[in-house]
Amino acid sequence: MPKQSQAVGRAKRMAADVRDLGLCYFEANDFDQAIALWQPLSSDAQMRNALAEAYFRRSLNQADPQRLLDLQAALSFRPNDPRLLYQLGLVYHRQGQLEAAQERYTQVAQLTSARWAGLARLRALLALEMGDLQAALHIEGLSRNDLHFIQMVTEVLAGRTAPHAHEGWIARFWHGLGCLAQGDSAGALQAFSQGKPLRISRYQSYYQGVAAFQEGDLEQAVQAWHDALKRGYDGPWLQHNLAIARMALLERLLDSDQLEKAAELALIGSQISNPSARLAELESNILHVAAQEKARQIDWKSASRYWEAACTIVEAYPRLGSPRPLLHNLALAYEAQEAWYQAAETWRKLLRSRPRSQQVQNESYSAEQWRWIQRRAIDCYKQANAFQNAIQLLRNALKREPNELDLRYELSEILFANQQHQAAANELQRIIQLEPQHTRACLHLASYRLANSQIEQAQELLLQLAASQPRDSETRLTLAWLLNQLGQHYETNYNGYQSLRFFQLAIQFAPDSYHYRFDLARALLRNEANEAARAQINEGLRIGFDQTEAYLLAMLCWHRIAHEHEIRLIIARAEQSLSDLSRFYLLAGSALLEASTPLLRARDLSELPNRRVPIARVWLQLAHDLLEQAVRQRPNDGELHAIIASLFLHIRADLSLYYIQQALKLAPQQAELLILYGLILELIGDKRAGREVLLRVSRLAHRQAEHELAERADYVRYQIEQSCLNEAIRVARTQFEIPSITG
Amino acid sequence: MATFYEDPYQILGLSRQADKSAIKRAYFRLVRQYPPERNPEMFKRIRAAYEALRDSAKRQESDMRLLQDWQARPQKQALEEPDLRIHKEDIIAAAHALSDLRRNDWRELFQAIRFDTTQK
Repeated sequence: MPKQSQAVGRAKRMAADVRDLGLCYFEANDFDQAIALWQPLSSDAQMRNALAEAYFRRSLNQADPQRLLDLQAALSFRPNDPRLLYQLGLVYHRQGQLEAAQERYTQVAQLTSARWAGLARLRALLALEMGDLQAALHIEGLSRNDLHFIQMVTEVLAGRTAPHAHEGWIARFWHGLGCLAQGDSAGALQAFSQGKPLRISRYQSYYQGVAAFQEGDLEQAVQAWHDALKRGYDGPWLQHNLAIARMALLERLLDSDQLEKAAELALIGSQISNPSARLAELESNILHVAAQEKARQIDWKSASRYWEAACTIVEAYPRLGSPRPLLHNLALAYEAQEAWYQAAETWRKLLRSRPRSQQVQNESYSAEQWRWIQRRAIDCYKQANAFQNAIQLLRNALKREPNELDLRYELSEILFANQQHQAAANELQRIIQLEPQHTRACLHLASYRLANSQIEQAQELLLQLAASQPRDSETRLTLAWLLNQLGQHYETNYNGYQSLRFFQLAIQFAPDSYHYRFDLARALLRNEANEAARAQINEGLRIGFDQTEAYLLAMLCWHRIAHEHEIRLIIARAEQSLSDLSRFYLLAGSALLEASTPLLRARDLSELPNRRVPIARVWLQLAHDLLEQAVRQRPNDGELHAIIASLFLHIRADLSLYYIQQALKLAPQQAELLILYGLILELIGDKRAGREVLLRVSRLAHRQAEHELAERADYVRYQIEQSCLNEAIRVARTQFEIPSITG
Repeated sequence: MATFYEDPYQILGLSRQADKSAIKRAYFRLVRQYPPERNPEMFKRIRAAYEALRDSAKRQESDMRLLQDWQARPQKQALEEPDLRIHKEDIIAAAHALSDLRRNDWRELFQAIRFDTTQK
């Protein structure tokens, strides 16, 4: 026995826990959970009460069919609860089950002695709906207000004018309806025009439209009916009436030459459902004509709005004809606004409308024109950076025409632009499989292979192309460039035979380019074929006789085998041929210094002994002579002095100091020069003076609001303090750099 | 595409089906009418229009850059008379809207749930 009573106690405690948990859900408005927990305990009177409340509250959140079931469930627990009976009556009433509703309302009246708020009005309404007008007016418990309300509704239903037109919006609404029933549309319009009660605004708007239409005020009628539609009026006659009114109004506007106003009305019309094909015809024509007019006025934005609307109408009414011209115009309008993505999408939509049957095709665009449209779609996607869409479009086109090589080439280009390099290369490969002599694809693929160190494949492609001897000059130049690149690859990898072979081949395809002559000469010199190299150098100088760069490249060829004498001969030839000798001397001196100090870019300056890059005396002397010649040509050019100072920074800081001092004599307050000067003082070991100069520049620049320069001076000083000399030099000489010729 | 729109056929006074010789004739006629020294702006437009149509490749490009004509196919179905009656359904629906039938908030009818704790 004690065991049994323990079990009962445990069961009671568990039931209480479940009950309380259900209450938690109930209070959190989770009635599903509360009902699920409480339902097994429904034998308990308290729980039945709770369940009735939970079903009741849940029912209020449901649509009518489900609400009905919940209320019935609630009533099974509390059969005489007037709240539940009243709600059930409401559901039946809304569903049109008038007898069932009446029965529930009567029960509520009996249970509450007819004192339930709102009940009398509903019972009266129900009587009206059941056709018993007299009974409606004599329902027990009707308040004065209710009675007044029922009287107004009764009057309107009987086709009479409701009285009390000035007692508020709702009274005016019934009065307006009464006026309409009596044929007094002006009176109705006046009653409806004075504000809208929210709960019946849709009806008021609709009947305001009716009154306005009867009065001949089409504009107001259309506006009111649009408003009724927006507010959810769902009478099927609204769409019909609206179409008639819109049609009449549009015709009236066109008769009075108000095209734009008509187009705006048609634009609104395109957004709502329209039951009339005649109206669709009229609206789409108006929109197209108005769009053309806007396009002529260069108002592309309005034009595109109108064509968009026209397209929408034609899509809904295919019988109006093909939308292609509209789509075509819309795409052009988007392009004019540089709305590339929309333009691309519209061209694509046009493409999708391409008829399948050949006969119908002939009635639209020619095959060439369809290709033009496709090209526009692709170009517009490209302009919009929507590469993926362009790729998809091209792939679809290639499914239809897999052998269309131009399309495939275009696809490869877009794939490259979209960083899909391997896929792009595959497309190029496919083109070459289909057409081995496709030069553009061969060149492009060879270039890709070269850039990716796929030398053998690149070489094979280039040799094939070279063997085919292309005639097109641009192709030949590109081929020469790629062959030369291949030669350079072999030269870097000390394959003298192959480098010579490809440099020579490059010259075959670009005989008038001096660059390739010097590359070949360099390779020949490496192979000790000095005379052959001299011939190439001479030819290069013949071709580029007036080009400073040609003389520099020639000098560098001889510099490679340290032939100072030959270099001096080249300088002499340059002096005879070039007009801007100052520039030549400067670039030649710079190129010699750079070519003679291979360590310059390879190591950190601070790691070198005495912070100097070693250089052979002969080249230093020759370069210095050349730079001095440059100065003699332009002695008052401060910038030239500063450039020369910066050239010697890594090599001879003392020479740098000399040239920067010369520059400062010409422009003593120039901040950039002072920054370089501060750095040079640091390099020659006068650290204190160097830092003082840099500090002075910083302050000066701040005073002159040259904050960027001040920051640069501070940065150089900071890098010096951190022993990061290379970085300090890089920043200090920024303004005085000249392009490298040695690459 | 330029932000302005000019139809070269319209400038030359031609239909879009005009053949090469008609284009040429129209051009020279207009140049005589608007010589460049007297009407430089008009001449520029005429010249540009002619350039746009003179060779077939350019003409195709120009044709595709032109706004296309369009007209909806005429529809026969006529609209019936409007229905301007007062509908009983609307009267009843409006009356419903002004009664408890369309009411959503019934919070004042809620009853609190309390359990007798002595039953635990």
